[in-house]
Amino acid sequence: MFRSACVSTLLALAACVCTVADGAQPLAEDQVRGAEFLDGLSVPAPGELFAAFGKIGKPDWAAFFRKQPPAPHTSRPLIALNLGTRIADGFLAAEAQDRQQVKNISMEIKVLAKSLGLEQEFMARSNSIADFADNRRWDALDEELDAVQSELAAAMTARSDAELVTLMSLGCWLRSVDIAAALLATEYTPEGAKVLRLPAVADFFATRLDALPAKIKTLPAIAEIRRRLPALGATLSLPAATPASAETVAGIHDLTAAMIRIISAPEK
Amino acid sequence: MIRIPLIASFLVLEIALAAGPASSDAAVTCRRAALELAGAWANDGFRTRENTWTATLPAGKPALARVNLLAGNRYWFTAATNAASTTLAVEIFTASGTPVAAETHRDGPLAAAGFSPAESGAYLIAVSEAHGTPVPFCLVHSYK
Repeated sequence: MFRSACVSTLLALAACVCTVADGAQPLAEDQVRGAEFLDGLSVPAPGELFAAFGKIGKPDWAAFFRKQPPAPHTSRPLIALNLGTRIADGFLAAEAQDRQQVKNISMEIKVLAKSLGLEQEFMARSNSIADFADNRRWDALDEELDAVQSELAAAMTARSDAELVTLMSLGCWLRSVDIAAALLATEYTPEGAKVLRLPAVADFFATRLDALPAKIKTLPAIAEIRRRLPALGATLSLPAATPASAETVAGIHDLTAAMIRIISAPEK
Repeated sequence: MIRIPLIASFLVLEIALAAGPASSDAAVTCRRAALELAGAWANDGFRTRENTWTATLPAGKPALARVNLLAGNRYWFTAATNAASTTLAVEIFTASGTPVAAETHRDGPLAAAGFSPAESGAYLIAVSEAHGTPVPFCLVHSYK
């Protein structure tokens, strides 16, 4: 029913889509400055980043699975950061089309969500993730993981844990950049380097971290991530005409890999 | 032959656009209509992001969001409002505010713009109403 409606809509659109700049006027400077940066819309999802790299070659995504899961944590901010990294790992497993890895990571997400009191919010999605993996519906799995992050964020916000939303999003973005940089460092191409350009995302997260309560932003792991974010932001904001060199990409990977190690290391 | 599915699709969209007056209802209706239209791109292999942008247009000017788009990917930004007599538009600009050539779809309260960036980076998505009416809207982001 829904599919036939979609097909019908597609047919209708095919009849009236046109390619134009529409004679649109350039935006005024104040309009450009006033454009909103929205957490859920402005930061590319891991699947979006991996899809772009998937068009350049045939990446061996499974080579970037983590050998060890993150150490167990009791600090809620660190759990949220790790939860984000594991969601990104879920996207990676979907890209690698590895059913068992998807299920393993889903179990780890469940454990982390439970640690934050969000197990119920993840339960229904957990079953869907397993079903999509069993049926090899990888695109649907990507959307499901996106929905997991969105629903967990909504539940955190509803419980007045908005700072955990920032940390989960940051963990997810950092791990996705880490994976992309690892791929590009292994098989450098100028085309790939052109893809890995994400201006303003690091600045966005740096501003969000600055706004966290002192007791959170002074946690050693989070303070260290804050210290390193500007350097990462600078390397991801090079001019489009001069994409990152192989050395710069290796530097991006060193930075992100170090931050992921900080996030997943045992608490001191 | 094409006429029946065309009519059917517009009926489906019309039902989705029959909004209630409350703002939360309006948000739900706008989102449903935008996702309905975005379903057409999903049929063509596009994945739809779960997060949407639901807000009310500022009077007389567009709502603008900054997004990071990736070279090699193809994108559709789809917007809907519950105000049936309005004409919505979605446009894409570079980070400095220059309009980019995009595929556009405009059908009263439904609008979309499709784009394949040659360069990764920041772009601006503008949602506007032809008469500057401050209507609620929802923007959905799809990629492949």
